[in-house]
Amino acid sequence: MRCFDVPVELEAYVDGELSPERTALLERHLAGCEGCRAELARLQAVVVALETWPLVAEPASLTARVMARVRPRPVLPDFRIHWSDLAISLAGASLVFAAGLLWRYLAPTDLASLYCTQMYLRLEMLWLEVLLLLTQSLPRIGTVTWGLVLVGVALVTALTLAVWDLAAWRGEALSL
Amino acid sequence: MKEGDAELVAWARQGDEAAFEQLVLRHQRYVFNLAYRVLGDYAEAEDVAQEAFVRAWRGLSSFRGQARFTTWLYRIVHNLCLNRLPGLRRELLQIEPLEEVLVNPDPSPADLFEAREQVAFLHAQLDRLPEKYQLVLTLRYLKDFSYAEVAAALDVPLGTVKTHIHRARQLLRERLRQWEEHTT
Repeated sequence: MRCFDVPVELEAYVDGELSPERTALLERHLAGCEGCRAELARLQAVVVALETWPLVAEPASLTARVMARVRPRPVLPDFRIHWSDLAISLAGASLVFAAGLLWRYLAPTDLASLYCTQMYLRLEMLWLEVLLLLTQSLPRIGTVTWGLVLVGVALVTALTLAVWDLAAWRGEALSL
Repeated sequence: MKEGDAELVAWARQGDEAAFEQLVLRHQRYVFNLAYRVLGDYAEAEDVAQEAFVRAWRGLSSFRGQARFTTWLYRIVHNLCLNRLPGLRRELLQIEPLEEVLVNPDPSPADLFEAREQVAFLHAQLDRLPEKYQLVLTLRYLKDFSYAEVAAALDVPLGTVKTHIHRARQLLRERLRQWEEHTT
């Protein structure tokens, strides 16, 4: 074996891929050639450097970022008309409506009161229509929201009645 | 008991996120370093590493366990690197004559003077190798891949991988010889 052939043979030699015959030839050459032994030492140093090639520390948040993308996000329920919500809201609206009517009919009747009752009926019908519209248009509206809407309806109704009662009382006072 | 990759992959395929998290923890350093050595940019390497794991999770159903999980994972990393370095694929398939590789092996004067130890000098030189050599050497030595596994991860012929590794080592040997001449 000539020194010229050694560099290529050394590559296969350190990888353990040289046949026994060629290994024997190479080792015989190395035993008598200082230059090629130095070349082998360099190659072995290169392999050691490759095996100890320092690793850079990855970002500390890498796992968390990966897992944040891997874990499924909580999926919001698709919009559906919940009949239970609708029933609760209708029942609530009916209750407010019935209570208003009862109070109005039990009160002493006169023309002003009858007029107010008529107006109140129309107002209640309007509120019911608004509630139905909300049911169809608002996405993901829950029972709590419906409750809040009903409280709002009741407050506005009571306020309207109070204003009308005050107006009726003033009208009566003026007619006297 | 420490589970092997195969067990963790099997659990992860059934939707076990904790098993997949174990795989991420186990391999993230290697995945990140592979991307970092090829791309040479910390932020880009982080993006690639993150994307590689997410793609691995989504593609677990297509992993049939014929190869090692790492071979498959590094192939994903490699493909993501190719998206960022379009010329790398051509470079990988191209084999230059040895004379061309060794034509300018001179380490910079700074390298010769700064490194007092042989291994430190070689580590500095490794970081200055062309991307394709860093890629094949990293795959070969990072997780002790065989030449066949490197070829599978890069989707290039086995002979090409062998030649690149031999060329890169010869280049490093030549630089080491110059450093030895300088230090003596």
